Amino acid sequence: MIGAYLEVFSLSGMMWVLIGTVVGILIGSIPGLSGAMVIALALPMTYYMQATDALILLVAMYIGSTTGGLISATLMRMPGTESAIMTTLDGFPMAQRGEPARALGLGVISSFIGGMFAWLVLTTLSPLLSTLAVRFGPYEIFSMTVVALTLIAAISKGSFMNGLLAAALGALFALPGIDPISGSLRLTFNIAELDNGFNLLPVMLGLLVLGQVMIDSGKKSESTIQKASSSKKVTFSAKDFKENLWNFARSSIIGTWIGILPGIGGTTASIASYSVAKGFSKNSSKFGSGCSEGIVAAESANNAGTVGSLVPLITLGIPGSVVTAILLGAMVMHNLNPGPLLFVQNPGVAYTIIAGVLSANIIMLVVMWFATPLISRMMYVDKAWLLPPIIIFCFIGAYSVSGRLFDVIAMSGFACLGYILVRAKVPLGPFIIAFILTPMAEENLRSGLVVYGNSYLPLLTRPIPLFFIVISIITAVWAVWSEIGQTRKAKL
Amino acid sequence: MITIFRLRYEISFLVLSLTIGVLILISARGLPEPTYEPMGAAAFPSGIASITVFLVVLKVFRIFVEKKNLLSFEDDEESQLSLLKSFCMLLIFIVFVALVCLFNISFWICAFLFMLLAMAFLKRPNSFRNFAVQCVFLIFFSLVLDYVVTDILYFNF
Repeated sequence: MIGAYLEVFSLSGMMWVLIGTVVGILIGSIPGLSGAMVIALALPMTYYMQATDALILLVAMYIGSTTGGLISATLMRMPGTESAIMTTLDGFPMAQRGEPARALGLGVISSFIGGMFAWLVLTTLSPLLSTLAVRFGPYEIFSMTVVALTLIAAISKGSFMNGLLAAALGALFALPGIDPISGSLRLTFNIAELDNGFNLLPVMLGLLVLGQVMIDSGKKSESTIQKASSSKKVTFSAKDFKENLWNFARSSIIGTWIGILPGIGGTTASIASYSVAKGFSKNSSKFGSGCSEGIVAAESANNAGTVGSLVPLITLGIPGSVVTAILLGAMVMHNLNPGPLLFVQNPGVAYTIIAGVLSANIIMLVVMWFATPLISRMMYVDKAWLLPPIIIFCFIGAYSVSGRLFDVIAMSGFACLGYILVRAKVPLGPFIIAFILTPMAEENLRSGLVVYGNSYLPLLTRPIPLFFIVISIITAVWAVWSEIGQTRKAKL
Repeated sequence: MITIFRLRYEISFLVLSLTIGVLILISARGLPEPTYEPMGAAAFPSGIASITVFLVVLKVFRIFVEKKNLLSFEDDEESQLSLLKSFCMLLIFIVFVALVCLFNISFWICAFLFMLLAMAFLKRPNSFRNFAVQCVFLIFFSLVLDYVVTDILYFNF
């Protein structure tokens, strides 16, 4: 463990953290460019890096992009990332009334505290959870993937049925190639390039980056951006800290807890935390008009949620969000074994991720504190300058997988699919996570059948699979129930 | 109200899901029977494909039967323009890929032309001076990219 911390806090480790955090903050602060997009774009570059350096870089980008969203949310009333939506409600009014430095300061400190609290949980909980997870058999792992997919489909934007359909489609695209048990070829439709299935990178670049670029290309350029008075510095007072002490703690706990649950993520964490803070506040009527409590609640929770989502990733190999799915993909690319065995087979990697979170949080604080005025000027850069180079990077990324035109064609196809999914309001998260988890689910189900003598019964008699299946059923029933309720409301 | 334009994407999504589901179902039938394990290579794909087809049918029922009264068929010109622009951008990208991979034109020339065209398509340059600056910057950027793909990544187009 100490070795991992020493590696992360070495000169080269800190260099990757600094690059990742700065790039993440910069991209996160530009509305329309998401953390998922930059991490997917960075993935091909990490081919040529050591696994630990690659993961440090990507984790730093993840944390940086989550925090960067608060700059444009505060100064432009446009959340740079989805998880900064709630920050807009109070950050922008506070900046508009002449306190941009205070609004940014509150956001930065809240992000740091939320991130540090979640890091503490990650440090203590992950090794404990992993000791439990190594005892998981095939049916435990299978039921865990089922619960993850159900939760993600239920909680993602749009309807539950759309989420399930997206997950089913993602699973179908993961099936062509070599059968995981018999080793024979299947569903390749006589296309030689499909013998190894679809590569993860073209799928992600197409769905998350090129698809989004297509959507952005069709949008009108923003000619009338609302701007609050710009700030030359970031400030934070002891009075604000004292006033929000309980709010910091409560929002960090809510954010971390929601982040740990698969599929929910930082956006829901910030919404839940904001609502709770409003409910508990004596100044609830001031929420939405530049109240410090609103900024603290939203920012503490979204950063805590970001770090919290790493808990199921490194202990169980279950990605809780699109970005953690990309991180899982990075682990697979580097021949690591993500899942319950990560802590046993590659403890260095697991602890490097944890140490990376700590250093990324510290660097994020420093960069945000001193470089925000500069970043806030760069975020007004025109999309026309950004999108074409991003497309070129997509091409290079897809081609670098194995030097085949097929991967570029696949990426373009997935971009069209991503475009249709987004336009049809079908969430991308379930698709990507199902694409990644399906091989694991199939392999474990079939291994389970071999181990338990062709019987599905242990899924209901063993406690952990039963627990996961009950959670899946409850989630599905709840999702269907709430959708029926919404349909009835719409009819009225 | 659900406009016909929004529905167009939903229908595309459903048709795509149904096509892939049916394709996988048919293809899975041709897979060999399991010999030494109970499930075999076909069972899982068939299961997922059946779920997909079932969900598509359910979704079609919901859109066209349950929400029939919520549908409106007015056309949205702005959205059509957005679709056209998005696919124009994809077309420019496809031309770039064809030039690089099929016609073996130097990467930096293709990258420069692609970026110049794409930038002009997204936002027309407002003066000759800006256009000249843009060209100089893009030539430099394309040469850097060319160095990366040929001398560092060793791409062999």
